[in-house]
Amino acid sequence: MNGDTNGGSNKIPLWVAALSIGGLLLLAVVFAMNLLGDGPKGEPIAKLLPAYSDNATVRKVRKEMTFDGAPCQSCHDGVDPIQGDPKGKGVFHEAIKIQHGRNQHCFNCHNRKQPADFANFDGSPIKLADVQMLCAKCHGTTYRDWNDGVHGKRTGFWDVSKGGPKPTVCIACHDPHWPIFKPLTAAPAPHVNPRGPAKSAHRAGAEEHGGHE
Amino acid sequence: MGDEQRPDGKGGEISRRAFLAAAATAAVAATAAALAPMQDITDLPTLEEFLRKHYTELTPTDKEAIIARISAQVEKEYGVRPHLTDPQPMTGVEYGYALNIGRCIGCRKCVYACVEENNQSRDPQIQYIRVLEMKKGSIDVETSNTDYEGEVPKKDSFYMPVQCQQCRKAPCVKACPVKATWQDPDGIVVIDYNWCIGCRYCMAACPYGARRFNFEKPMIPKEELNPEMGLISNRPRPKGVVEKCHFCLHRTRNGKYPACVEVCPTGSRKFGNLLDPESEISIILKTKRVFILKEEVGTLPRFYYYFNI
Amino acid sequence: MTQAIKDYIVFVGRCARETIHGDWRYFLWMSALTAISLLGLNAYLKQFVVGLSVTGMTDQVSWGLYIANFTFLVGMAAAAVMLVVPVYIYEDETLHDIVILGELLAVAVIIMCLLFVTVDLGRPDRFWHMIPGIGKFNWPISMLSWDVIVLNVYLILNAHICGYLVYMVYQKRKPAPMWYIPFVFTAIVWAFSIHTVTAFLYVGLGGRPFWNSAIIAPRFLASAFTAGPGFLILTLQIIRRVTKYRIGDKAIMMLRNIVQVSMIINVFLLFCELFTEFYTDSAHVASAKYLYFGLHGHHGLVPWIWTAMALDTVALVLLMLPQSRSLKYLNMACGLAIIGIWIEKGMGLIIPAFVPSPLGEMVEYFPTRNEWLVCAGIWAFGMLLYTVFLKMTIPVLTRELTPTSAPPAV
Repeated sequence: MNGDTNGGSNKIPLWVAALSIGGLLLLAVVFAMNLLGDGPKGEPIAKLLPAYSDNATVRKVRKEMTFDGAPCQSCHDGVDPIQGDPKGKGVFHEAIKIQHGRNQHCFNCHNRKQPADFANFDGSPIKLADVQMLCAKCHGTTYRDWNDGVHGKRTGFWDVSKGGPKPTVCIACHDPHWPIFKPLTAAPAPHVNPRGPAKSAHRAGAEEHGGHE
Repeated sequence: MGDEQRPDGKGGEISRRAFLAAAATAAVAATAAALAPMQDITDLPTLEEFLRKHYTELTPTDKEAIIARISAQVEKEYGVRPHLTDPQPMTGVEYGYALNIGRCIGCRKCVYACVEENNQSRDPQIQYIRVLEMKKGSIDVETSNTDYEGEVPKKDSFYMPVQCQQCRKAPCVKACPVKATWQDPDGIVVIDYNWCIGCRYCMAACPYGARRFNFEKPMIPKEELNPEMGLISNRPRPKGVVEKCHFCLHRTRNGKYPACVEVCPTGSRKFGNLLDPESEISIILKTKRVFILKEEVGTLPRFYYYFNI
Repeated sequence: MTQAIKDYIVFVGRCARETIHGDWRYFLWMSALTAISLLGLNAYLKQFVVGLSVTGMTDQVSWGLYIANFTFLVGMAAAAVMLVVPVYIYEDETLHDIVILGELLAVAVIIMCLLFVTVDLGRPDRFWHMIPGIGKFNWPISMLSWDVIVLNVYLILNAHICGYLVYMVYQKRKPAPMWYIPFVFTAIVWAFSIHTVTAFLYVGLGGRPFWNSAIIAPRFLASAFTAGPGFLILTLQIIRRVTKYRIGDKAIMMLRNIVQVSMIINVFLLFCELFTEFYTDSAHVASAKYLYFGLHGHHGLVPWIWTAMALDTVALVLLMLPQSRSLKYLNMACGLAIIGIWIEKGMGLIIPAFVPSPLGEMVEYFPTRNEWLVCAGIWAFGMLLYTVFLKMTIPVLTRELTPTSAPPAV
């Protein structure tokens, strides 16, 4: 590296000069015009739909007991106890499918004398507004957990001094005739941050190209 | 000697001096051209941002000024005037979180409620919560799958969402070279987004893969911006810093539930004050079969998993 | 006093002047290195403007090529100082001047390490947060804080030692022991510490079972002391070829001994690791499985690691054979060892710990072209620095550049 002690040659061959200077100037052009490009873009990510984070409960809770819009009193006078099996009475109440485990008998829950209410063990009415007491007849442990806040959705405030939590009533999630919680459609699978295909379509092998070039 | 270039020289040579002059010019030109990308820069820090002290050393006056500045910035960029606050930890409160894996169906509503609430980047996509679909018979996360789709729950699977566990002995707090992340007295592990240098050592340290990095400036659609913001929680973050779940502290320090707890349709997520024996979280810890993830790493998380019974 | 300062400034000026004198090979070399460095600078500025999304790193694999090169180079910096051991501990005076060449390499390499860390930061504008007293320094808990201290002090130590010794040679003065002996011995110990601290960065993380093993630190040192002296063997021969500086074969053979022993230890420790992982076959070996055999259909690193193992084995065999006393085979062995260890430390150590992720996700890592350009740029810049250092000091060491020597011919 010590040219001056190598015999004093202070001349640079033309090809070396051309290569060096030309190369650097070429580089200047490449940079100024961004000829190297910016690299590949990631896959576009779909916009979020409101349904993905919808806060509502899975069921709407009815405010009053009606059947097809008509109040129960329009057919039941509320004086004599209802007898017989509702399913054998004509077009009303036949379409109701009961998938409530071993609870196949309508009047386990519904009140014979006041059909707009429900029935306690001794026949006394349970109002729609207190429907959790109905479920608690058989699902005592779940009711205990629900009361403690351990079962079911709660919204609002964890801090009691600020208002406390608002529990949701049983039938906001469970259809009383078919109570099992229905499957939902999952919101979309995650993308790799910062880029890469969604890990949905292909399994093994897809992420081999996840980092792009 | 310093002769000029001789066109008829043997093989063609130029003098060292001439070469140096030309080469130096070419090198300067190339260096200047190499700086070309800088003309596209949009987010150089301001002098105030560059000199800003650590969050724990800011005075109330400092914070007011910072809040005003950030609010103005957000308004300029998104067209929405945010309500930016800096809620402090409540006394006598230590947060705990419990997740019922007997009830979680893997619908991912928590993931997206969190994204909306906390102004996370949509593209590149940041999601604090990762839902693992596990096969019955194992809680080894290596058998899990995060890219399931369609109707849930699937047969013979159970679902375990994972987010920051707000560990009592957090490896990320140990790792950070500049103390940009620390545990507040109410248990939340927070990050000062203006102090983080983006070295990502905390991300290597986290045993739960809970931390996310802003590889680019976050992209949030204007119409989806959540204007209720906290200074060290969900105000829009800059490029090049780490972020993670912070138990929605702008909500929880005002007594509300985090967004993920509120949205869960099956009520699998439970949150509250561990120091209150009547809170749902305390009752769960007392009465349910509770476990924690990766107990052997010794992080002592405040995020518990339990079953129904 | 002022005369002393004036003399020093003249000395620096004259050294600097050496860098603009050379033959065409020197200038071609420097132009090439400049060009590559500028490519790196341009690529880095793109990253600075857009963000780290121009790299192949992800949330799951959050450290990549930059930290891999950083790890390898910290090892090299440590090893460059190992030349010091035979000279000062075994008092082999004939190798005295070689020490300076090794320390100059250490200085250039540490600067490369610091550059690699800087380009990896998400917010390099906030570097001042790491300065103790001005920023908020998480010492002694954070291993990164230890790394910041040891690397910078090592740089200062070596810069002082070389600077002082070279200036004394120039002034034809005998160096005062007080000004360099304690520093030299500190540097020897410090060389071990920089690489141990860097190893502890990885070892202390309980959430990464692939790293959470006591053997990582010894393996680091063993591989560093193979690659570092190996690199020096090659570099010394180049210096011998292109300058008038006389370097005897004795120095090279001594380095060969160091490389031999270190390579044996390195391969043995590798074998220990392989046994522990694959015989146990517990859930913790997922990363090792991914590295050596592929996992869940992903096998991006498998060809790399087996190539590295092959290179290491061939290099070891060559080194043990008497044929490696001949420079041709020795150089081959060193070249193979350096490449093998670079792969082993970079792709074989850093990346697999992130795959699978702590939640079992399989996200592979492939560096982007931008990343390669930044790395090439930093390597080129480091070599450019080392060339400049040598260009300035060799004339002093050959006693050509003295306070009374004539300036070089125009």
